[in-house]
Formats: sequence, C-alpha cells, structure tokens
Amino acid sequence: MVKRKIDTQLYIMVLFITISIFIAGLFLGGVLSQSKLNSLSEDLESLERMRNTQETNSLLLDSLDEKICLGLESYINEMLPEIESLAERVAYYERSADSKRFGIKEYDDIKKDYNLLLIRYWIITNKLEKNCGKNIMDILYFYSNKKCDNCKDQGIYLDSIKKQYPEIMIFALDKDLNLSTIDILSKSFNITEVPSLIINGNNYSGLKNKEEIIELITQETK
Amino acid sequence: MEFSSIGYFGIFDIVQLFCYFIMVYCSILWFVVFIKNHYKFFVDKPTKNYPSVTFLIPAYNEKKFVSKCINSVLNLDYPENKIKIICIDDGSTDKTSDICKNIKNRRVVVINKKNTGKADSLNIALKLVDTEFVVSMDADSFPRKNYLKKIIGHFDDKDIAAISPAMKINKPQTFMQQIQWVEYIFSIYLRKLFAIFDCQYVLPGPGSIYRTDQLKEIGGWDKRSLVEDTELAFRMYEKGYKIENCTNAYVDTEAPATFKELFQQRVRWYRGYLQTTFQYKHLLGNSKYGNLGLFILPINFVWIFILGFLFFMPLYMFLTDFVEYIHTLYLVGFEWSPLVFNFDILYISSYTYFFALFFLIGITTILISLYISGEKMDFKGKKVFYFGYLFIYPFLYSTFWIAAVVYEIFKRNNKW
Repeated sequence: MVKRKIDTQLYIMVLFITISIFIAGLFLGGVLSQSKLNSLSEDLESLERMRNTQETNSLLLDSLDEKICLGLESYINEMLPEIESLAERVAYYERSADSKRFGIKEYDDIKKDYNLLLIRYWIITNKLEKNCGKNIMDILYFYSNKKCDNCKDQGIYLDSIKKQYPEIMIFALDKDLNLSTIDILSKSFNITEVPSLIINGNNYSGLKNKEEIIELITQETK
Repeated sequence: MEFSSIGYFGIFDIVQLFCYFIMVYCSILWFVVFIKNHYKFFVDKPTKNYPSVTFLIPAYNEKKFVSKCINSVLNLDYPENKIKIICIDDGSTDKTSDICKNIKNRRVVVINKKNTGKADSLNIALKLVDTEFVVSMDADSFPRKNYLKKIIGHFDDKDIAAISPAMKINKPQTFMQQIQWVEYIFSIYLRKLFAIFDCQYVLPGPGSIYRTDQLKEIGGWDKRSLVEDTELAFRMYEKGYKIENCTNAYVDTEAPATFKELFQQRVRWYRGYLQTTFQYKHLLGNSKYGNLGLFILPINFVWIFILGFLFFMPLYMFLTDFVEYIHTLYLVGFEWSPLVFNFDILYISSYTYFFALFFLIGITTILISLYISGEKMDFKGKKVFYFGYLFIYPFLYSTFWIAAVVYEIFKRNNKW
C-alpha cells in the first residue's frame, strides 16, 4: 500500500492564479463594454455638434432674411449619412448581448439622446417639405424591445424597404424610453400599440408587410 | 460567429464563465505541475541489471501486423535470453495463427484458443509467465528498439507496480489518423503529468509493463470490462499500487483510419470509462486515493459537462441564426447585399480575452508536447494535422463523449 498525498498547497496556489486571471478577464471585458458605449456616445456627440452648426446656420440665414430652404436642405443632406450609420450601429448593439449586460443605465441615456436627435431631424424634414416644397418620403416607426411580438418582423420588412428604396427615411423610435417627447408624439398620432408606422402624418397600427407599406407610401404621395 | 449574439444575460453567461473557470484552472494546474517536474520528462533511471520480461501479444485477426509486432519485440535492444514472447491467437478467422506458427524462434510461444476476448487471452497467458515483469503488447503495435531499456529502470522504485509507455501513431495516412497523431503527441505529455500527479488511470494495451507477481495477485485483467486497461488501473489504485509513465519508451501503434472506426473505438473507451468510474465510485471524493479520488475523478464529470456545453452552445447559436435567416427569406425573399467589412469595436465579443487565452494555452501545450515527444516543429509539413486537431478534433471529441453518455444511458449494444 502506497500512502497517497494530496497537493493541497498546489490546489490553493492554482486557485489564486486562476482567480487573478479571471479578475483580469472580467476587468478587460468591462473595459471593452465601456469602450463600446463610449464609441456610441462619441458618434452621438459628433452628430450633436453637426446639428448645432446646421441649426445655427439655418437660424442665421433666417435672421438675415436669406433663403432658409438652402440652410434646411444642407442640414438634411449633411447629417443623413452620419445618422444612418449611427442607426445601424445602435441596431447592432441592441441585437448583441452587450446591451443587456453592462451599463444598462448609461445606454438608456445614450438612447434617449439619440431618439431626441432623430425627432429633431424629422421635424426639419417636415419643415423642408412644408416651407420649401421638397418631397421627402419619411416613416416614423414606433417599436418596443419588451412587449412586441411583431416588432422583429416589422424591422425585417423595414430593413428590406430601406435596402430597395434608400431615399426613404425611416426613424425608429423606442416607445419604452420614458421620453416625454415620444409621449407627445404618440399622443398626437393616437398611438396605442406597437408596431406603429406614421406615414405622412397618418397612423397605421399593427404589422404591415413590405407590399402594404409600399402601397401606403404611393397612396400618400399622390 | 459571436458568442455574445445569444442575447440573454444570465444563465448562459454564468454557465459559460463557470466552464471557462474550470478550463483555466486545469490548464494552470498542469502548467504548474510541468514547471515543477519538468526534469522528470527527459531523464530515465538507468537500469543496473536486465530482469527477464515476457511480452503477451493477444491477436485477433491481425494478419497484417502480428509478424511485424513480434519481430520488433525480438529486435529490442536488450539481452536476448531475457525476453520471452507469448502470442495468443484469440480464435482468429484470418491467417494470424499460420503467421504466428511460422515464426521459428524458441523464445516465441504460440497459444491457439477459441475467441473469448482480449482480457481472457491475456489472463490465460499470464498463468504461464515466470519472469519478473510482463508486458501487454497489442498486436498492431511496435515497440521501438530502446523501449525496454528506457522503461525498466523505473521499477527500481519498489512501490511502482506498472508503467505506461509513450505511444505514437504509426505512419498516419488518413485525415482521422493525422488528427490522432497530434492527439497522441499531446497524450504523451498529459499521461506523464497524470503519473507525476499520481492519478494516471489508464494502462494502454500497447506496451504497458507490470510486476508479474502483483498483477497475478490482483487477478489480471477483467474480461467483463469494456476497457480492461482502465479497469485494471482503477483496481491498482484501489489496492494502493503506484503507476508510473515513461515518456521516452516509444511504442508505435496503428490507429482507426475512418470516422466510423474511430467513433466505435472512442464510444467504447468513453463508455468503458463511465462504467469503470461507477464501478469504483467509492474512490470518488475519497482522500485515501489522493489526487485521483479527490480531484481528477470528480472534475472529469465536470469536463464531460463542459464538452457537452461547448458542443451544444455553438450549435444552438448557429441554429437560431439559421432559423432567423430562413425567417427573413420567408418574409422578404433573398436580397443580395454587398459584403463590406468595416472594423467596429461593437463586433468584438466580451469573451475575446478568454478565447485568446485558450488559443495561447492550446499553442503552448502543443509546443511542449512536441518538445517532450522529440518531434520536429514541422508546422508546414504537418499543417493539415494541426488544422484538424485545433478545429475539427474538439467537435469530434465532444461528439464521441456525448454519444458515449447517450449510449450509456440507453444501454445500447454493450459489446466490443
């Protein structure tokens, strides 16, 4: 019979090494998650700066009695690619697990700012349509990440429409955000359920497939 | 594919981190054991005298290899009169028995018997052994010239009852054999670590060597076991024997060539392992059996769980992505979109650190294994080997284990 020994010291030592390696890993994971939020924040900040410039330009043109339409048009055109790229990034982030993991509160703030930016932008497109006779096709899309079975499908249809008709502007607004601005919008359009689409000021509730949306757009533009 | 695309924080993340913790813990443990004992891998105790050794060669339909096996034993660098061979023809239906008979050498004894399995063949021959040591040598295995000289010195330690050799795949031809070639190289390293840590629970058929009296005392091999080599090792632990390993005593062995053959072999091994642990469940968590009872046997169950998790999680993720893709196709039809890849920090998974860590551990382990087994760092010439081992083998290994567990639960054909 051999007397067998147990390497207790070794087990404990290895446990400490492993825990240190793990803490380093969790720390780096946290840093990475924070960097992702920061990078979204930075995008948003640069857009805010852009918006500030463009809005000031428009106001200035207005006060100088110059052609305000030129200012509004430049507002829309300058910001469009940036807004679309941020929209894609936000959509990707929301699909990934990160949005559910760390810094949920911080992401909430980013998203509120982002939604406000979208609404401001949408107001300018309306102005441009009303005052300058420009024809812009836009859709406001109200969705929810929590209690909405059809929002995923609605998103797929809208993605496909965006791909086919890049000139259509789609603004996705999160109804769960607790944002008074979004509440005002929903009240004024009588939105009671998600998904809801606002096309040319009219509320179309419930899931609409691609053909239906295209038909609505052609109806509304007539 | 992104691990983080699962989209649920909670049970998935916690289970994943738990698996990674165990994986890192075991890797670090083996690195530390290696660093503390590295010298033991290269130096073998020289033998002063040359004790007599009998080689038992059980053969069932081994006409292709049996004569090569016998000749490589006869050619061992060892005093000629100290080696005996007993070749047991286990009721072969091919020419194995003729080939054995044709070897005209007074040191080779041939036994012909009805087919009763390998363990029984070995036991019948063990009764005839009168030398101090005995080797079980599968007929499709070929010891290298210095095998015996390297291994025998370890018996100077009177506590040691058995020693396993270092096995290499003989001339890997098919893809499956090439993957196994790397696996066996890794096993040379791992088996020695297990021996140093006093928890080596397999005594492989190709070239494990035993003290004859001790082997007879505990009754030889168990013919009811699916894996008589594992069962024997467990029994030795139960009786308080010590098992050593020699990394420099090489035995070249044939390996299953096709997926089907490999699948059958591994399901038998792993089912056998499960049955043996249940048979010896009193060893589990019992400090009397040292590191084996207290750590290795319990952690092996966790490892089976980890293998299942690492297999099903990517599968689940792939399937959900696939279902989503089909759903999109159904809703809007196929849409061609150009593949543009822009780097974005959002694409980096939160688990990147761990993936990098495991990659590093994997590469280091392969490098150490190659160094220990005296292989050249021929990554270009053997790129298919390493590719297969790093990317295909984990899935094969998990598949075999899952199959073994499933078969064991449903008790499918419990035979060789």
